[in-house]
Amino acid sequence: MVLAIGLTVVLAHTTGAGAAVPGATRLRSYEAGYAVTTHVATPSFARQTGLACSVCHTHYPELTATGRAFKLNGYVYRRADSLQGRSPEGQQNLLLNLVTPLSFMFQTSYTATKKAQPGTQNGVIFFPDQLSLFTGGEITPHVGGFVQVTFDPQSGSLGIDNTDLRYANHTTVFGSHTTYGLSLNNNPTVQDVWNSTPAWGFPYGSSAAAPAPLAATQIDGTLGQQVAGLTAYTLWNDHIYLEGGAYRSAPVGTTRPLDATAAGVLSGVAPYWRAAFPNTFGSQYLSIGTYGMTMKMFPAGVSGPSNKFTDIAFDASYLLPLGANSFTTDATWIHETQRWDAGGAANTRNTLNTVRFDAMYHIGHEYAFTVAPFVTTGTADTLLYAPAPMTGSRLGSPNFSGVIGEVDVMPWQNLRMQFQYVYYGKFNGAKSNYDGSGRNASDNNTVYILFWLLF
Amino acid sequence: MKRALALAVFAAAPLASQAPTLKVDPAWLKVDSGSRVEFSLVAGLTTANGGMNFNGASAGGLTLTVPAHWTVILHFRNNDQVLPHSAMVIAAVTPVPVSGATPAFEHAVTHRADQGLPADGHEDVQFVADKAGSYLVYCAVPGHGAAGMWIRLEVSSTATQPQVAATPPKTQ
Repeated sequence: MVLAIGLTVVLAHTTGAGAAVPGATRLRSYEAGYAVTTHVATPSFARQTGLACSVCHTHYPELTATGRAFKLNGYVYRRADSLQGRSPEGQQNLLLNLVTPLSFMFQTSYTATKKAQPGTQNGVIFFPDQLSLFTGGEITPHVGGFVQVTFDPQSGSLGIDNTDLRYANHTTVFGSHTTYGLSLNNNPTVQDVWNSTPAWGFPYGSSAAAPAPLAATQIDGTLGQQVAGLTAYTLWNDHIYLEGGAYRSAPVGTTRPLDATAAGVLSGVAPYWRAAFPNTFGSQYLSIGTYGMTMKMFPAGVSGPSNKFTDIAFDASYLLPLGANSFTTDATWIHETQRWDAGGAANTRNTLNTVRFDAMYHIGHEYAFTVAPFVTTGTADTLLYAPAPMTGSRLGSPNFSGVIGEVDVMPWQNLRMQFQYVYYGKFNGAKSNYDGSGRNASDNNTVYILFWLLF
Repeated sequence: MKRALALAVFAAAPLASQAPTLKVDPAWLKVDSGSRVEFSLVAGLTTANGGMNFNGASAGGLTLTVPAHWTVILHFRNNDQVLPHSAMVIAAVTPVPVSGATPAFEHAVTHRADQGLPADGHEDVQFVADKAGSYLVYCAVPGHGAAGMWIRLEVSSTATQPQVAATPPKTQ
């Protein structure tokens, strides 16, 4: 995920537009926004709560009912020993974990595409793929959170990754239990408790070395670690979840205050909304919802004309317990309208539509089998999606589709071996010769083997 | 400020390893006429075991004994303001299952056992204890029972009256 920081900065200095940028930079920006993702669980939470990973996750980072409650309540639940301090008046003013709230993630991976990328060696080994330090848990009885710092082996740098700090409390509204709180975070949807939204959605780990399609909506990871936002949320009667807030540019690795050299800066703040309606049907759990953002973005500098992006999304999460096993699905549809009034695209109006779905069968907590089709379609734009060897589009099209098949083996809850195959039926607008240089979509089919350790 | 800080540090002391003695409230148990017993089963009644307790007891620290063939009504309520909880009567096994257990008696489970009832959620569970033996009343939300959220239920072929009593919790 730290890769997202560096690469999205490249994007910001290039055009400031999240949808697409020319040539190789455009590919890398997309990787930053969507493809290079790893989502995790944090062992420091397990140490604080005294609960195994499997209590809060079916298959991390996918959350169980306990995991959702833990997050909504500010990560403050604890069973571990604590240290308390009191003022001379006897009022408690300190409550610290006796267990240091630190944990580590080490990943190493192997990536091979069906056909080597031009001029490169196929069969890429990352050692590490990612190396992350987490600190997280209860800070005060109503405040908690987590901060992830990740080392990127390609840039050799250490950077801030996903962060979510929150305050949570309870009250009674219309006779029903109500949880409410505030989240301060750096990636829209990272605060969400359902795995159907982008920040914690499938795939939970994907290759940083494989080619990735050009197009991605803003809310689909493009803004990750480039913004800071404050949202307020409430869950009423365990059935109605509402959240609203706003984000403002806060890019990492850029001189402050932002000035004429900056790119991709939000004009003012970008409103964010979320509603979800969870319910149970016997032993089955289903949540349907909507989320979205709207933003104006300067293509260059911090003033002048801006482009406008509006993302409206719908999502669903489903869980079916089957004894010790379970079946889960997550789905989302994101519709983005783009108004390129400030330039940067061939058209003044474009749209993008992304649909993702994953179906996962869990055998205990040791195995998981996943099938996850994905489709993105949108308006052809010869500037946004220009031809370029491997990374571009011969047709100026953002369209791509495919399916991910994955097998995960977890002999221990904090050790995962992930075997993933990504098949592309269409890539940057075409099945064959998509880039105008003779490369086919299937040439980008990817084998990705990832080995995770969390401790 | 310096003085206050010094005092605060001086007052610092470990928490949560304290194990308060379980106080059994006789009002939890109500014996009706006609071989029927009602029991108030409160999840997260206290903060013991991080709230993962029934009536303040965890890991078998409370035992409800009922005569065989009596009708048992569990008035379940989730008092835990953070986590969802449920209740299911299962056969006494070691280790306590993480998930996927089945009720030992028909209807001896709250209706959303895997997901649990939210804070302040409540439900009455009624079943006939028609097989003598040792059972557990455990939270079937995955992982909660394994974390100690269970008490004992003894269905006795010799007892003539229900009773509830604190019992030694199982040590890990």
